[in-house]
Amino acid sequence: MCFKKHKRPHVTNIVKMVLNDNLNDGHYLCFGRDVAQWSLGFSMAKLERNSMNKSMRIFLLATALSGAASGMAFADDTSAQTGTMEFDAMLTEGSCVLAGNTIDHNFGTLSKAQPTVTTTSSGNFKAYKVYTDKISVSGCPAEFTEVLMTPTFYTSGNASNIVRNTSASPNKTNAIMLIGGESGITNLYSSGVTQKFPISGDTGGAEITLVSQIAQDMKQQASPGDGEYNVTLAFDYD
Amino acid sequence: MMNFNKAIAVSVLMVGISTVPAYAADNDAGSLHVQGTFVDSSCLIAQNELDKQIDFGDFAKSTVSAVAQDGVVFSKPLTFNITNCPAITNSVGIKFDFDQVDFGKNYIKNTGMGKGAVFGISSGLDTNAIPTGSKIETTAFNEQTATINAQVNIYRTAENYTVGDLKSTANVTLVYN
Repeated sequence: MCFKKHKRPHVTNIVKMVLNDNLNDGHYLCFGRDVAQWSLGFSMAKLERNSMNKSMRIFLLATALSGAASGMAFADDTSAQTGTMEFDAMLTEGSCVLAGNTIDHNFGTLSKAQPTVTTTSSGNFKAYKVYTDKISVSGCPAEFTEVLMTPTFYTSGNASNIVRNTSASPNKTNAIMLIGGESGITNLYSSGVTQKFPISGDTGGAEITLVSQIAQDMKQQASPGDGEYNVTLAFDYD
Repeated sequence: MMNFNKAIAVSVLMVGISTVPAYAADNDAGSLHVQGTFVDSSCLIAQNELDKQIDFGDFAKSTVSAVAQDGVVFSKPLTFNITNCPAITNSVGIKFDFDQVDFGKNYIKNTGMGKGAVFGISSGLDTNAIPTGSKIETTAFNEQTATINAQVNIYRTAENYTVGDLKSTANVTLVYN
């Protein structure tokens, strides 16, 4: 869109003031917007050259100023390039932070003849090796009051609280594993049974003691062979 | 005087011609209005920098509550690489338009079910959320290329927490002058 400078000083001065630019006779000032409005100004300028009187020039001036003001409103040249951005997130109840929850032990070589180190409180089992591990639970949201831990494992026979030896070796020991919450394991954990641990209001966490015993029935002796015992621990919070 | 009257008459006639169709609308009439501008050249940006889906993943209420109200919980950068700007370009920017929240902040309305946190846009220099229609721009050009750094933030609000998704949309436009 273009505007041609008028020869009459009052028109030129006003346009210069609005547009902040110098116009020379016979040149056109062009803008990137409002084509229709500035074209109208150009047409009227031609009319002026032929027969337009003073009042018509006033009309032209008003039109030109209208175009100038409108052009100024589009200071930004906006490209046709647009896009859409989508933002997503999920606000959750939250969870506690676990540490020490992946436990791996290798008891190496044990002699079936070696003295046992402890027995369960029931007196039915003797242990050749005992592991005591600590699982740290921290950063719990204030609304949580307890940690729910559910061990799952292949059981031995009909006893849901004896961890079966799942070694793939053709030569497997008959030793089993027992798990519980304290050294004497007065309460053997059973597969699929949830254990609950209170969350401290002061610390927002809990420390879970997990005791594992490689053991054998008191009436039997461990047989030579390989042993492998796996327990999956699932944690939830309430 | 006669010339003056004729001119006025012409003026009035022009006004009449331009306004009559507006009052002569009929249910079997129509119009086509096409408008636009061609320019010699324009700044360019890869379309995949304008169309994005940004996922912050899951975060817990406790993470939000650890931040002060109107504080930023998480931020992710929005980088726009603009090329091919005309040599006379003074500044180039990205304009963000979105449905703004109605509680007096510059955040983007959340269309998800979660409450207690919302999205907002800021420049890459701070975390002050900009209102809709604002642009983040730069005047720093290097051989007619420029980089604009903005970021999308998750702000904690005064709302009570409700577990659920946060989902917002902003339209972006490349602008320059």
